[in-house]
Amino acid sequence: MKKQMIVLLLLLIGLFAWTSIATAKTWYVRSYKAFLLNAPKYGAKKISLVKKNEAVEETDIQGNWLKVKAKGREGWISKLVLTTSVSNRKISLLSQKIDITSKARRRASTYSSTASARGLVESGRKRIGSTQEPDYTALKKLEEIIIDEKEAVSFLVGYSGL
Amino acid sequence: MKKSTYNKFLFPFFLFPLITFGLGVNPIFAEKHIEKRRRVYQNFSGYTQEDIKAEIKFGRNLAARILGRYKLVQDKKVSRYVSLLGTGIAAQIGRPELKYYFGVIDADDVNAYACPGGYIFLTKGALKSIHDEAQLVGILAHEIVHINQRHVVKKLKITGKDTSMTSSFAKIIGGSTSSVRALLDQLTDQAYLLLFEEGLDKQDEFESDTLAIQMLVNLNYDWSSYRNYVRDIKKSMRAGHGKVLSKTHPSVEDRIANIEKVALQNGMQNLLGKINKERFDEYVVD
Repeated sequence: MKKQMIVLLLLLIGLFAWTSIATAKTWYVRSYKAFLLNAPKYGAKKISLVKKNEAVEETDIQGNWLKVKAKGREGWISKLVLTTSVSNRKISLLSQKIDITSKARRRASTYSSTASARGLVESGRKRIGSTQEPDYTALKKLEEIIIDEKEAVSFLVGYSGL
Repeated sequence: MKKSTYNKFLFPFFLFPLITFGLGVNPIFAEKHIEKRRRVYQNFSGYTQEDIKAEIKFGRNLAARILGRYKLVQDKKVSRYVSLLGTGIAAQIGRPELKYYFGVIDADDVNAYACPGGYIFLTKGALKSIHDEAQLVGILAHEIVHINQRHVVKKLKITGKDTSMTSSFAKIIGGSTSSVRALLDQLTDQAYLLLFEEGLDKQDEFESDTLAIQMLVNLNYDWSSYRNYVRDIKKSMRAGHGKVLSKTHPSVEDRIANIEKVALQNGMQNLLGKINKERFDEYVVD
């Protein structure tokens, strides 16, 4: 009887430990800078700074706030600035190389034969019942505008005082 | 009690609750574990690369349709300003696998449109009604949330044989037969109606406002300036420039109530931030 109670107790401890480990989750910071706060609300005291792609370990949750551990410190951070994946690879249907230099303005865009075969309708064919014809020429012009991400963040962050 | 009776009935009787307790079904911990599992499911999007390509293809179709109706404004200074801000916001809180595009369209109506896959349009009318950069950033953030949360795609309720909505979406959009192309055009028609006539679910608009003001605070902008912009939409509606907005969005009063509730819940109500009025005037007004 005593032996069985000990076994049951050990089983219970093991299951508790398992559930804790199983639900631990790693997040990555997706904004360029963010702060761990001492409470789950904006305006709370800042504890430490975390940077883009830094890994943080979730320890608790409250609404849109996560309590996380990073570099030995623990604090609250908005889920908005976190992501589950560190990859920044963009998925695109356009075959052009993305030029991220700030001087680049326009690049001719070409479409792969695969994309064409998949029915990217660019000819402006008339559709019965269509209320509005698409303008793919204008769309291509929009897609040819290259904005360097780092320049954009600097433009945004530099003035926002982050 | 006989040992055999204990082994047969009581031992499993005690073992069962301990197992369920450990697995998190116990009422003390169940809510937290269920919440964590729900979030894990939601945050692991489960979308394949094919799903995302299908979403982009669909979004491009819709964006091309909007550009068929309204021309892009030729003012490069304004266009670049909006693109810089939008790209900067998306780089920090957008979906990392998407490239976001921002265009200002020549329409007097006060509105902004978000197409799946990353295409966002702001009307000239909206730009005229904006007073500072914080308001503009708030509007762009609102539209980015529509894309982040896949509001248009979910509203169209595309389902297939399996329960995965987006894998069916990829099968529909990814095909190349004429019937598939016809279906793509049909879906684009429906999405176009959503943006210009019917609107998304009210909860989606509230969610966009909710996350937009939090994004503003994360970026050190003044969230209350965005709240003031939403409040002032009524003036645009009275002037006849809010026809589409009034059809497709919740009432201004409901939006303000939601924004202020979120601000209170998140300790934002006394927070001030930047509005960058001078820079906004330099790019937009001058």
